[in-house]
Amino acid sequence: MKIFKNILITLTILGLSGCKFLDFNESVGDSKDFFYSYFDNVKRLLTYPYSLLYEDFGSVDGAMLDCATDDAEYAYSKSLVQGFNDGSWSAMKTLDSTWNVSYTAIRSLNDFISTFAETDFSRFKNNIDYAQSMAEIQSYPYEARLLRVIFLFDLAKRYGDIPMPLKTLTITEANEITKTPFDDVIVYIVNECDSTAEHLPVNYVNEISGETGRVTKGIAMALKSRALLYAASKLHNPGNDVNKWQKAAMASLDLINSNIYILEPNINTVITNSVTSREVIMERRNTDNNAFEKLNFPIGYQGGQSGTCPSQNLVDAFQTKNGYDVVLTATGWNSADPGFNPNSPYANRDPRLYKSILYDGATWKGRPVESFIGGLDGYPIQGATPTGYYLRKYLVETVDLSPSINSMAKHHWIVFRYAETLLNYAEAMNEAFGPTYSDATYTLTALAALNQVGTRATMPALSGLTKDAFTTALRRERRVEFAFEGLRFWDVRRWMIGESTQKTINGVSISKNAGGLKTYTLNNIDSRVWDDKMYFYPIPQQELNINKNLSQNKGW
Amino acid sequence: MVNQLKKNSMKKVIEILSILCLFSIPSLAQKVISGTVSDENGKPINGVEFYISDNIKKIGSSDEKGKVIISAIPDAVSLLSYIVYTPETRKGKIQIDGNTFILVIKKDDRVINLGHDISTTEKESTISSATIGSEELQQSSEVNVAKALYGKLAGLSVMQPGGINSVNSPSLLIRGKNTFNDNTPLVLVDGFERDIDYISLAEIESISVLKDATAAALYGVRGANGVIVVKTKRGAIGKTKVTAQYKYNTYVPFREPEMADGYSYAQAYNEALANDGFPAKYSNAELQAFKSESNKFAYPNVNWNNQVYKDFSTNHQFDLTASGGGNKFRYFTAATYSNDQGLFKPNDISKREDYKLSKLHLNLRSNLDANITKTTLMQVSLLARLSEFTQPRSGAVNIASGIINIPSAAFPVYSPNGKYASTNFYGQNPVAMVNSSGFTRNMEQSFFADLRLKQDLSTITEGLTAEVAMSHDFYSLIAEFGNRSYLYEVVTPNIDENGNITTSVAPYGEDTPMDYGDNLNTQFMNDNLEGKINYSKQINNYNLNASLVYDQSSYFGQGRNNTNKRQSYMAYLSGGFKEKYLLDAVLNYSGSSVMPENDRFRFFPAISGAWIVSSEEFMSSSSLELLKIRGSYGLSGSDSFSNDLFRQFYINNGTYYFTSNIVNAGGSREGTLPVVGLNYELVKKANLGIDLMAFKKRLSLTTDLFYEYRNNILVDGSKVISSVIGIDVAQQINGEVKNKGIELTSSWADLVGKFNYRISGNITFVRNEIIENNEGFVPFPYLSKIGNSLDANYGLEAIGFFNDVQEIASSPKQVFSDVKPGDIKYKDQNSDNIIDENDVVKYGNSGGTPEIYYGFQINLEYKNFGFNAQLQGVANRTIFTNTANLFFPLKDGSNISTYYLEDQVRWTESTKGTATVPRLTTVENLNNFRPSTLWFRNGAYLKLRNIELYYNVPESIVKGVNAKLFVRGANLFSLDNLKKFDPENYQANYPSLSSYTIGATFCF
Repeated sequence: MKIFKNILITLTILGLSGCKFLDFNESVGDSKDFFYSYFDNVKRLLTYPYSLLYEDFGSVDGAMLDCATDDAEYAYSKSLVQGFNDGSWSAMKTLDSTWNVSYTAIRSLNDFISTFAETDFSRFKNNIDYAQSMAEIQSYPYEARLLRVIFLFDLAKRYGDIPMPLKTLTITEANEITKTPFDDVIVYIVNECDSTAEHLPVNYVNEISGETGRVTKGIAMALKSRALLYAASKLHNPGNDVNKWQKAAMASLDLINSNIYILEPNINTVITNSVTSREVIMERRNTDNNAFEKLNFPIGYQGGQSGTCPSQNLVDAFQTKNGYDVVLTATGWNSADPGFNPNSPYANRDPRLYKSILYDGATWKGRPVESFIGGLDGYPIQGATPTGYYLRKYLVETVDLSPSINSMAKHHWIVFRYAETLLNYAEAMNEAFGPTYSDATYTLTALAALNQVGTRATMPALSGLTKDAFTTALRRERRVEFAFEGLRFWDVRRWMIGESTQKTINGVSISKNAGGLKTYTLNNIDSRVWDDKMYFYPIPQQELNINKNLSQNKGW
Repeated sequence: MVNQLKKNSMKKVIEILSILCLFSIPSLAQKVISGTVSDENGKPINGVEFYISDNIKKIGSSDEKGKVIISAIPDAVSLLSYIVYTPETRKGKIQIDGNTFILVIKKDDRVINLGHDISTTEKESTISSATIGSEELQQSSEVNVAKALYGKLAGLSVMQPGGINSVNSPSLLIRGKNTFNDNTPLVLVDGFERDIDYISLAEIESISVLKDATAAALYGVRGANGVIVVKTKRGAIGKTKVTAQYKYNTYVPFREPEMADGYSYAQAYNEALANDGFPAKYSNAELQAFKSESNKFAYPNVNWNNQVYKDFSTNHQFDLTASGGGNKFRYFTAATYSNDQGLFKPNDISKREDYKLSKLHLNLRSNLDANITKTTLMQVSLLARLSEFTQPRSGAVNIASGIINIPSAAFPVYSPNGKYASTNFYGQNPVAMVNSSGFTRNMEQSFFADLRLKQDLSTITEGLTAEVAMSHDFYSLIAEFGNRSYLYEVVTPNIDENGNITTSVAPYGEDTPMDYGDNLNTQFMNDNLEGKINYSKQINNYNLNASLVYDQSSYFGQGRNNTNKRQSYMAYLSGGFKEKYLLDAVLNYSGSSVMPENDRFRFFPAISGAWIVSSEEFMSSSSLELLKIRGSYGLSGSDSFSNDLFRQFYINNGTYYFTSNIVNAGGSREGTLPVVGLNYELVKKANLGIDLMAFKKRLSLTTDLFYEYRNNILVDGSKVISSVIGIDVAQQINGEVKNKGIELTSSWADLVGKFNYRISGNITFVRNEIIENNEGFVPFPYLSKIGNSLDANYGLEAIGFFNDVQEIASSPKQVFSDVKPGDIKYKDQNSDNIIDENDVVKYGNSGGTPEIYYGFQINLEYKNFGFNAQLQGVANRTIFTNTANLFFPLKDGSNISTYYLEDQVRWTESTKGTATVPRLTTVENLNNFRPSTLWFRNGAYLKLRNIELYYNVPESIVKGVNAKLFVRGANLFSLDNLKKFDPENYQANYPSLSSYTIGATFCF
């Protein structure tokens, strides 16, 4: 009898307290409150958006975005990057993942910014390292705000008008958000740059954390310089409002006058892949890796796949060291430079050619590159360069891809460097006032700024240019100085020169004659589709299907 | 007045529960009655037990002549219930008018268990169900219980699994699929959720499949996928009955894949290389060497199948059961032992490392019933199961796929030095994998224990009982293993210009000593508690049975956050009027811990009714013995989703590099968003059924029409939520699926003189349809999956092969990979001149799960001889033949089957017109090797699942012993379209098996 009693007692108790039976929580996940209870975690949350910063070591299916400009052609004809060039690019077939990545970063930053503001860190004041931790985190909210506008600018330069969420969105909000016009996005970016610059250090070397690599005051200023330049450019400034150019010039001048950065005086100083150069304003960092070498080493080098192959169009932009044009035409090399030797067309050129491009005969890893027909790196080898050139910039020559060694190196993507600030200034000044104007406010002339960059590369200084001639010189300077640093794609767009530059892609076909002399023949390797709708990216069709408040960009 | 009475009695119930004071009935005025019990053929039935109230307070039982005398029965009692356990449990109630009665126990008195210790009989049932009894189950020699159910029960589809037959278990579906997520039915063994794999056939009394709303509602958040109720045997009053059975099974592989011999492989490989524009790998001299087998080390021709597998494998099964008991105590106890030896050849080289593929298990079952007081029944059920599964450390399935993957021409079994041979590409040798890779031994212990106490409370009011049950199950799997690697030698051939073959040998790897270890792989506990108050009453023509049930279950898995708990409160009401009009109603209020606090409970109501038309006056002259029309409608749910879906966490993700030393810094971010409005999958089920018996019950027929509509199904949210949200979006509960179908079960049985025969069969047709899957926008209407079946296949429409380069140039561009003549040409569905993912179309209504599932059987018995045959088939099933080596040959160093080489016509210049498969290729040809109509096959089959010939040894030979001798065969043939492969196991897997059995059963 007793057993029934016990059982029934149990049953009754369970029946009465039944609701409690299911109440347990064995979750192993960390809630938001828990997460913000540790300094380390707070730091981790801000590290995450850094990990999403854009870089282009082959961001489009192995290809650099330059393969979608007149600077390069990708060796593999099935790569998705060809979609930019063959007309198959569309809202259904988007080719770059920035939309998703940037909004992911922006959400994490929105969450961080609002939660950080609400978190009371004084509850940790008994921690031994409280003072140090507080010192470390004081710049975090400003870092986060600057990072947020970096990601917003990545979107705005692609899509123009964009949804600009400044708080964490609910599902409904995300599905109903409207676009903010490009100009308003720029205003927001500029304001944020201004207000964060005040609070961010110039350099972290002397900060308590020593954590260089975090965003700085100079980065805020550089972003402002670039954002205002883009906003003043023809694509976004169809009425050519001179005021916009003046603002752009002033933003650049502020950074120039801050004296935080210098041009590396020697052209041979390593700038790419460097975290210490005083010319580099911001780099997107990486650990040891050799994927970039695997993609881009010439086909004849072990492990190489040719990858991003510079075009003849780009090579033609590199003058002789005396400042004369060299152009490969249907009838052969053409240059007014008396010192130019068509049998040795790559000699005595703008030294930046040698930093950017591997041409036939260039020495690489202990042997000359042989991109001539029948050469070790040339046609008809499957996968050989279609243009006759291989990529040089960012590649680390010491990387050895043989399976037994498989060495690696660090690659850091340059986001901003000081030379760009100078050229941004030169461009804006020329557009606003002409090449040689200066006054008490705009203390530097456009020409002087341009020449700082050119002469650093040991090229002759320019003088006596008209405004239009200056524009031509400046555009060439940007192209050669920043080849494969991710600027050309956007310059083509903001200058609106797609129709005139993006259709014909040339390479060189080199045949080696019996006597060892080589014949260079212009080789039209790609006839591309250009449509002015391509000045902006198409918004992914799925986004439009979901959010009826979004409209597609013109022409798509 | 009646209300008052009810209130009083309810009060009393409560009182009883709270004061918890139980006592026996006081004596009242008593009478004596007598009766006889027989079956429908007039044969007396022994062992029928009579009770005053449901199954607890026994007052008598029939003897061998069917006579029963019941003394000391209270005057007031006019309704007795009876139950008999053999050959299958039947029960019912009998009205006593006067002092004598005659009881005929009928076929449709057969009990259907609904779980929660609630049962009904076929006659009184209003629900849609199908039941199989012990006798029929025992016709099978399968070790796994579910494999004895192929085609046996309408609505239950049992598909043969791949893998090793001694350990695999079939997939079970009740009425097809109904959700994108978990479709597995709930399996109850003796009322508690348990894995059917752990029970042996000898322990089982019956298995019922409960298909419609009323049964599902009884299980609330677990019932949506249907319920399989397994009831184990219990002891009946009488002298000890012992059954001993021995079975010896011999298994032979059924349609083992045949791979090309060395010469054919080498030829095919050269052909493929030529197609890809590469030079030949094998010279003519080398091909000749393969053909002549002049040097088996250099140019081998290894039949890996024969090297690794024996011709047959074996299994011994021994079952011993004993049951019996008296009025106070009854028992059923069973020991079942099975020893299964797999197909791998013994290790001739080292007995020390002879780890065969084997599976042993021992089940020990004890089911005890004790009447511990005059009004109290105590039921204890215990099962201990020990099992041991051993296989080579490489894994039997890996070895089986290695056999298929490694070409005959790749390398010899042994090098000229007598070491294992291999190449660095394959890195393995199937014979070495069996003999020299070590072993894994899985030791499972499971222990199922449950206790049920039933208390008669007729002192409070007539017909009132209460019961409480609890169970505790424990399972653990400990794996012990020995790891070692082996040395192999790469044999490199060389032919000189004179045709002389030499070989050089290079060793790789090393023979290592065995490295031992062990692991606790799985462990879980399952606890259940159930309480019930039951009230049953017959007033005039009204028959009422009402139950209040409380039920809770806990599953404790290994590790953290693997606990699941469920709880339900329910009322079950079953009523009848004049045995013509029947009604069952369930109201279940249940919840599960996977839901957020304060939002866990839902109501699951269901109602079902039946009209026994044949009992009406106007049908009395009809030849129909039974005509019953049933209908049911109700709601049930499914909680098969993970814990924490309603919670959001922060997770580690991303790395960046700070400081001038580029130091790694880890990142963290918000994890996936929580599911908004998380809810159980809810299914509304409607069922309309007819049961019919005619021609003196020789014909019986049951048909059911059903319709199910399920919503709240978790589906991917990413297609309907803008990525501007910037975070991994959770699933949404938007999914909706409907499912409808028809079932038919029929049998004809008769006894002609001494010839007893029965022909029976069942067929189910079921078709589901996606109503909502959150697919968002699709660019072309035919790409939408809405309106299609859950299982439908999708692929490009193959319209032949490209015969030349001109044809490729003039056809739409196929984007998957470079196309050459001999590659598959696809139809441009949207006429955009590009063949891409947007040209994929639906193929057929069904995929791997058949829409039509049927089974039929013949049972013949003449004097002491009998014959049973059972066939099972499916139709409306599509399979995608995409297995590398077998259907997708040669790429990535894989092998080629004789099916591809001989049974199919591959595209070559000379077979352009007749080709059935594309050209051979050695590269990853994404154009050809992707889902397309070329690779979809009709997956219909008809299999002989079981055939039996037996002889009942007359009792006169050995007095007191009933013996049965039998021979059986299982899975002996299949009629289908694949012909060379088992249509249920056409992957690179351990072979399917046919079995031949001899056995004997002794009962005494």
